[in-house]
Amino acid sequence: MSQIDFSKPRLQSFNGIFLIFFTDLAKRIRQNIYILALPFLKNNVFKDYGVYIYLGLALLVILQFVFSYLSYKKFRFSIQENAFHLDHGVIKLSHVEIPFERIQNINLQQNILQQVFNVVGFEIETAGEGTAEIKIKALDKEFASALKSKLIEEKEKLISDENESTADNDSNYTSTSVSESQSDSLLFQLDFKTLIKVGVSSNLFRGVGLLLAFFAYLYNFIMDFISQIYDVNLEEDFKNRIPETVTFISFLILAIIIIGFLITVMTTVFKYFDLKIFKNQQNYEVEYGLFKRINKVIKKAKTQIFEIRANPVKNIFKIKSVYVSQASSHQLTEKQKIGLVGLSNENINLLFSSLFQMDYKALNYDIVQSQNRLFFRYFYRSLFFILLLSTAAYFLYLNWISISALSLIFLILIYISILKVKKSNIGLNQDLISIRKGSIDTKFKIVEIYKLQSVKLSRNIFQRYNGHADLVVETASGSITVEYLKLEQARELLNYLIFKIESINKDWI
Amino acid sequence: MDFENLDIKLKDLPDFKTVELNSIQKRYKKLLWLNTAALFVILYALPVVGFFINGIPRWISICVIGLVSVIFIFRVIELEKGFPIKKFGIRQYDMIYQSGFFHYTETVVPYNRIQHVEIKQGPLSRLFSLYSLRLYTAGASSGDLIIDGLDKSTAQKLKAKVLDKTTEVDVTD
Repeated sequence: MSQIDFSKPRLQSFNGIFLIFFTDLAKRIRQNIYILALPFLKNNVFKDYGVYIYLGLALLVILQFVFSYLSYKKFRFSIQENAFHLDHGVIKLSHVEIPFERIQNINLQQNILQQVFNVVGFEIETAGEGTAEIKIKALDKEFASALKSKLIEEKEKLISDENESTADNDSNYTSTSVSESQSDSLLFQLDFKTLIKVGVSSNLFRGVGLLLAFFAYLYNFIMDFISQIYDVNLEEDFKNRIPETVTFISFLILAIIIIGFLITVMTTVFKYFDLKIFKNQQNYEVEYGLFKRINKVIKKAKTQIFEIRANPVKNIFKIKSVYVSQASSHQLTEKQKIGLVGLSNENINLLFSSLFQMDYKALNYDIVQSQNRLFFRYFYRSLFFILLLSTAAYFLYLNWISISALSLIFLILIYISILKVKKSNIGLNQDLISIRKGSIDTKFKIVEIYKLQSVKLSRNIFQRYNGHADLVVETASGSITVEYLKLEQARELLNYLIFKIESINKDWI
Repeated sequence: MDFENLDIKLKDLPDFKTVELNSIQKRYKKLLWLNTAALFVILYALPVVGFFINGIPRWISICVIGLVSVIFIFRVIELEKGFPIKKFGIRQYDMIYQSGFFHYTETVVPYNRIQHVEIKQGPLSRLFSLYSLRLYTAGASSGDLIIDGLDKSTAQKLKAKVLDKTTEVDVTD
């Protein structure tokens, strides 16, 4: 592996030219999608100027190819003197240098285009500061993994040197200097049956949302198109007919839910296809995806929040999902959490005990429940939402159907609020805090106390008068709020957490 | 509360509420007023200009003025009532800051979680010779602690205190 000379600047894999070209082209098309609508504005544009349009398009594509080729040629990277160097840019040249010690994660991934050209994407993540993150679009598979192990090796050498020189025998690093040659062991592999279960138990509203957005887009597009050609106002015609039958509407809703459900199952299957978890010394590597293969590393020291999600359907299938949040310089979005789906209780125990060195089953928490007054917060929110909807309904479509639909939504919202209040609590023991949230689903977050950054009590003007407080704990991957605790309880919790943070003599990362 | 799984009794722990808190400089309130005034002059100017443009109906301008006035009243209450609340406290291992009338928050940041410290001064605060102290923790900016309206010596003392956690600092002036 190590016979490749990384010190001389190299280009990406040759196929990279085409990959870059196609990705750039796709980006251009996406940016200028509205131009597609132009021909519909005038009927005989193509008849009059067809040749010019095609010529112009061809010219643009050629220009794009030249540009992509240049950007391929100018993109050079190498390893020199304890740092990864990268030169890129066609018009504005820039040089990026990442010292090995700043490298946090190296991710390899393959989207569908990269699979076609048989190359992999290479990503170097750094801690904090944000700007220095490197993405190489196209590398040969062997070369990428060689580069990855080379970088990891260099980084570890640096760390072990440091440890020797400072005589700092921090237990975190002693085992990382073990040679890289140690093979990764497969911990968990998601079989297809479980994957389908995961898809079935996913929140189907996401799929419905996607579907509705798609329909709205399609509807607009088709309506524009047809009314341009036939010069009729279909929309009016359509609108007049819909209210005729309630059955039609309910049928439509049912269809949307079913298709939304299918879409959810499908997207989940595509996303988490062949999920594998490897144990790689101290860390875990996660790999998943059908069209876009994603490879992520879970680092023990960087792990901040361990989140277990379940819902009634998942409980029937006896599966759970785990989302791991790693330290970052900003609030983590849902997408940035590393999702491990379809895990059984045993899998979770194994993962938890190796990440935290604690037996998950043996943990006991002292639970502090959110106060019932929290219900009013959710109630007022739903009330506001319903009032907004009612105003809209009043102006657009007021009859017994919309009124009963609104009342139904209101009842559902109230029921969800009650569930939310019941589920909301915080538990603590000597080392961990656990925060439970959710309505129909349950989200159970576990954080090690010594990894907390700061703690807040937050009270709005109403809470100040009725003696309640929200407890906010800040971690290096975002903040977590526990709503409506009794003031004195919240205060005691804060004292305890702060005392723990200050007395545990452990580095948080 | 009775907790069985903890190794210490909660009642024995030092309570952050017992710490004596220090107020920030009084003249910072003037600066806040100046800021608010400047902002609302602009906000009021917009609908007033709207009166003289023919295309915009009168009721829109009136509504905007009403809305701005409501926000203004809340802002003034927050400023007047909230200013005495803005206080910071120093303990051996952490710093405490409280602020806000409508939304009262008390933040405790342990010194050993602070990534770096910064003393800042904007153009307006230079007029009043005021400084703001920023304590950055890792992670999202919501975890950072910002204390505005300090005089130079306090800001520097606090900074020194944070950097060298052992020194005792006296900030009574």
